[in-house]
Amino acid sequence: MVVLGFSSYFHDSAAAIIRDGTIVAAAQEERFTRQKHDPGLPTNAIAYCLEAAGVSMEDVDAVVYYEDPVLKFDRSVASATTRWGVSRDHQAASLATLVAQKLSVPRDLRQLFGKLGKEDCIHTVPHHLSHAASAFFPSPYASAAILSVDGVGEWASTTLGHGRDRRITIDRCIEYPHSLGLLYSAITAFCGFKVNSGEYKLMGLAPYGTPVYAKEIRDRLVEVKEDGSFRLNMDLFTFMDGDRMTGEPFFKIFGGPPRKAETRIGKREMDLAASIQEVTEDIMIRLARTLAKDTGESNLVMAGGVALNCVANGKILRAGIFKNLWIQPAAGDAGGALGAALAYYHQHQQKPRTPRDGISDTQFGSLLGPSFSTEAVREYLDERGAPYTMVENEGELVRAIATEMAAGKVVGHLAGRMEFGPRSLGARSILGDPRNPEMQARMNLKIKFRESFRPFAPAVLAERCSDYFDLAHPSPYMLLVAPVREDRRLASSMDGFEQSNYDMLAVVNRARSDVPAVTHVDFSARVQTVAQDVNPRFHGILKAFEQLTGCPVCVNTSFNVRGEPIVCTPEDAYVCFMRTQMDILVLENCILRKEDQPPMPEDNSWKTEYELD
Amino acid sequence: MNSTETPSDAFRWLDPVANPSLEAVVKAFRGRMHLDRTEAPTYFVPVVSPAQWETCGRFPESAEEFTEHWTELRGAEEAPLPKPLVNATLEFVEKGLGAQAFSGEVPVFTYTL
Repeated sequence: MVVLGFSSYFHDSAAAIIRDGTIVAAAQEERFTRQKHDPGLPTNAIAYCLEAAGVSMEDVDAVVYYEDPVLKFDRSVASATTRWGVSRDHQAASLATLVAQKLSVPRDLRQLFGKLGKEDCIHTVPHHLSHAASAFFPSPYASAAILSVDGVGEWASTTLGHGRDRRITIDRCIEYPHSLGLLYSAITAFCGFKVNSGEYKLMGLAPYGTPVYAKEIRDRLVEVKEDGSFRLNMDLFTFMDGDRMTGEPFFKIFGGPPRKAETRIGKREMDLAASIQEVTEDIMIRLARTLAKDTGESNLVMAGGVALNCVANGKILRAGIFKNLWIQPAAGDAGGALGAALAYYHQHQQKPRTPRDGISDTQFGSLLGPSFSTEAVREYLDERGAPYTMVENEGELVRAIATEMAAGKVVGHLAGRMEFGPRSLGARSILGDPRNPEMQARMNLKIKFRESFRPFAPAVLAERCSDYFDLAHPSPYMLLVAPVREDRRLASSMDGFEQSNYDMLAVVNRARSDVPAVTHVDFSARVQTVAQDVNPRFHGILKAFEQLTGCPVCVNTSFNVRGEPIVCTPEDAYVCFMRTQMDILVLENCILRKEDQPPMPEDNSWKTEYELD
Repeated sequence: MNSTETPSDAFRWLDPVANPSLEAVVKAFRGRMHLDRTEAPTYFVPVVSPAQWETCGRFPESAEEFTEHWTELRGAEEAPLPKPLVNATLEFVEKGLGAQAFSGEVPVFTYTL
C-alpha cells in the first residue's frame, strides 16, 4: 500500500510517501522553490515523492492531509465570535483565507497530478495525531509515551498520548489559545526575531543571559500547574486579534517596546531569552513526568515545533524521567506530512508495524530527499565550466576532505540524499575544524552572514561521543544539547562580559574548550552522533579527520546563507559556495577549490534575494 | 463583493450589535477557549471524543461539504450556532473571492493561525 502525506498553508509545507509502512521519501517544499519556510501547496515536494516511489498520483492508495480543515475552521469560528467586536478585520480575513485556501486544495492538486489516488479524494488526520504518528511510528520502540507540543494545530496545542504497536491514543490535551509554542514565539517576536524561525536564535541567546524575568513570566504570563498543564493570561497577548503577538500591557512588564530587528541585542533580550528558556524547560519536564506517570513507559517520543528546542530536550533526558528518548527530526509541521501518511496506514488501515529492537529507528537517518549521481554532478560542472578534481576512491576522497578541514579550510559538502527536517546532518553541510577558536566567528560572519553570537553544532563519531560530551544517548538528528565534558573545558568564557556592556563579540571568540568552535558560552553543545551504518560518507570524513588530528569532531552547519533554504541541488550548492568565503566544495565525488573557479559576475543583489530570517 | 470592498465590509452586517444572536455564542466559545481566568486543579482539557483522534476524515471539496462537515462536528453542542457567520464566510469566499480562490490564485490577507 502506497500512501502520500502532505502539509501546507501554515509554514514548512512538505510531502512524504510510504510503501507498506516503510518511508520511501520526504522533502520540504522550500528546498525546491528556494523560499524559506514556503507555506504553499507542496507541488514540487509531491512530484519528487511520487518520482522517488516510482508511482503516479493515481497509483497511490491514499492521499492524506496533515490536519482537519473543518476542525480548524471550528476553532476559527470560535476566535471570530469571541473577538469580533475587537478585531473584525482580522477575524474576517482569517476565516476567508482559511476557507479559500483549503477549498482549493483538491482542485489544485487534480489540475497538476490528475486523479487523487485510487479513491480520488484526500483523507485528513488531526494535526496533533500527525505529529504523534511522526514521532512514534518511525521510532525504535514497540511502545512509548508521546509528547507533542507546538504553536497550534486545529484546537490542540499540546497533547499527551501513548503508542503501542500500531495504535496511538491521545489521552490529555491543552487547547488554543493556551500554547507553549505561542508563548515562546511571543517572546521571540518581542526580542526582535521572526516568529516561526527566530525561536532557534532565542534559544541560542539564552546562555548569555540570566533568568531574571522567569518569575514575572510565571506570575503574569502563564500559570503552570504541577502536572505541566498551563494557561496563558490572554489579557497580555494579541495574537488572537492580528499579526502582532503582544501589545502595550506586555511591553510595560518588560520595560518598554520590543527590540527592533537587526538592532543591537541588549541585556534585556539576553535575560528574557534565558527566562523563557527556563520556563519552557520547566513546563516540558513537568509534562514528561505526567506522561511517565500516566503511561508507565520508559520510552518517550516527541514531535511538534517545541520538540526542536534541543536544550529542553537535553534537560528532559538528563532529568532521568525516561530511559530512552527519540525525537522526530522533522518535528515541525513538515514532519506532519510524514505523520499523516503513517497515521493513515497504521491507525486507520490497522496495518501492523515491523518489530522494533529498541535501538534502530526507521527514519533512515532522515536522508529522505533527492540525490544526484556523480555523473549528474560532472555534467553540471562541465556545462558550467567549473574546474574540479574527480576522486573515485571513497577512502581517498574522505582523506582529502579531512586534510582540507585540518588545514583550517571550510568545506561545503553535498553527498547522497538530502535531509528531511531543519537540520543538516552531513548530506548538505558546511564542515570545519572545531579546534580552531576563530572558526565560529569566521563561519558566522563570512560564510553564513548571520549573527555572530550563534553557536555551531558538533558532529562526532557515535563511538567517541562520550569522550567529548556528557551524553550517553544517541543524538543522530542533532536534537539534544549536552555539556562538553568538564575535563575538556577551559576557564570561564564569560569573565568581563558585564564590564564590556554585554558585548557578545567580546566573549564569543574566546576558547572555551579544546573544541571551541562548537562549545557555547555555557559549555553546552548541540550534538550530532554519526553512525557508520546510517551515514557512511560522513562517518568516513570524521574517521579520517580523527586519524589526522586525533579529534573525532567537526563543525557541522547547514549548507546555506542566512535566510536561504538549505541547498538541494549541485547548482544550489555551487552558487552558495561561490557567493561566500567557503574554501572547498565537495559534490559527490568531485572536489572544487575556490581559487580554481572562474569568478562569478559581480552581483550583490543576491544579498537581498533571501529575506533575513 | 465589489473590488473596493474589504473583508471587514463584507462581514459588517454580522456585527454583534446588529445581530444580537451572536452574543449568545460568544459566552459559550469564551468558555471553550478558557479565556476567563478561573482557578482549576489542572488545565488539561478532557479528551471528549477519543475516536476523533483515531479516525481519518475526508477533505471537503465544496462549500456545501464544508458546511455539512462542520455542522456534523458541531452538532447541537453549543446552540445557537453562529451559522450567520459561517454562511457569510462561505458566501464571501464563493462570491467575493470565488474568482481568485477557484482559479488557483489563493489570496492571503494575513498571517493566519
